[in-house]
Amino acid sequence: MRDAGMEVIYTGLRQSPEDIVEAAIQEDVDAIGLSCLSGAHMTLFPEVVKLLKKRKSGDILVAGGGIIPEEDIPKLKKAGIKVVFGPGTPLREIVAFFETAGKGA
Amino acid sequence: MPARKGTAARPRGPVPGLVDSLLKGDKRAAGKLISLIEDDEPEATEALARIHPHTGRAHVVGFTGPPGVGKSSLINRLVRTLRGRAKKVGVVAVDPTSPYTGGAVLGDRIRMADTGVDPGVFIRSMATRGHAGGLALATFDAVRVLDALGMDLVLVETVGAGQSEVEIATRAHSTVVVEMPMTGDAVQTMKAGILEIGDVYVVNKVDLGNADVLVANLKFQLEARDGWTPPIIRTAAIEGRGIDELADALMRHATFLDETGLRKQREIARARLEILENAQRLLARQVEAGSAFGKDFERMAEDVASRRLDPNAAARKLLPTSSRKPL
Repeated sequence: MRDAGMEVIYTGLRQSPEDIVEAAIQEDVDAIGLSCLSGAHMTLFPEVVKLLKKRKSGDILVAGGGIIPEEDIPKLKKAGIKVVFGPGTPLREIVAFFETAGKGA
Repeated sequence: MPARKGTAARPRGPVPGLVDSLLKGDKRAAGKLISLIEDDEPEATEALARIHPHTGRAHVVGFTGPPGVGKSSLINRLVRTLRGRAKKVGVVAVDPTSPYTGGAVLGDRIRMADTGVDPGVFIRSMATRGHAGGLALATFDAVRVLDALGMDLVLVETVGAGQSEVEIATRAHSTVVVEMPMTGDAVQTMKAGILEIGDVYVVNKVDLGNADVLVANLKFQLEARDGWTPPIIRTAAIEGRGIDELADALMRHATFLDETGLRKQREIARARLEILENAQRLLARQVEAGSAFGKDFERMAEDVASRRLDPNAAARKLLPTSSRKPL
């Protein structure tokens, strides 16, 4: 994403949803990319969306990735996660998504 | 991993409302105002004009020193210590933009994660976006926003190019130069810039050993300026050693600036710079927006290329009539 001309703020591993939302608001980002390998995505991802709405920042796009079972994806999308990238998603596809989203929103 | 792009995809709302919210301590408004200024949106001028009267309260501290010396970790610890002393702290951390793609990975925040959701802390990452000197063009406008947000101190972390970052010293109230042992011989510390700009010197990573040599070298060469002898503080940021002493030194320097009237002097020196910079930017914009791309411009280009006109004389024709005198 850096090579596609974006500014990416890396917050590090094991951040709580509260930390992530606070950072996103201070940095005034256009999008948040969440990665979860622990299996807790069904709790953590929707929590981020919920907290963003609470802070009047529901317009920040939330994308997810990591080890996420196929059947969870529709549920996550329903909870406000715009897109979920599974393992093996080509980088090009991810970059293209953020580029289009950045222009269209 | 939040991502930010150069131009705003999301609406930011009208400036007066944002500034009102900012003055009430709203972090979301602060974040949006900084973006608006950073992206150089048309409303930025109005935003800065509205903010200006509400600034001047925060003590601004710049951090410079080579990459990897531990500036981010030091700031992380210092923020915690200052919070313990009931100070509200803003941080602006600058990282380089790729000159090839315009993108950037801003990684300072990862070392500042300790403060998390503390309401008395605001951290903003910033990419240089082509500006030289270890800072972004909008760095000190972001400082202004955090000042107006009510922060008692604003810490500015420069890119850390190391030897050309004097700009920070012209803008901050206190400049901290961070060094670490075993990175070079005595000549490194003698190089121009390093010894002139610091109000406080930090020798970080003292746990690596050999700190005495560096401290002795610095002590030997540092001289008092305007009646202030820069203290040398030994720290090990990861272990949290020496951070209280650093906070004390910064507080002492702040008091010194107040008592000697130097704060006022520095503010005026900075104001001079800022007026000139704004004048330059306005003039550049006028030139670009004006006749620069019209027929006259093409004719002048021909004249210069065929040696009928010299470039400086041509440039003067682009300026507003009042400023066409030769310089």
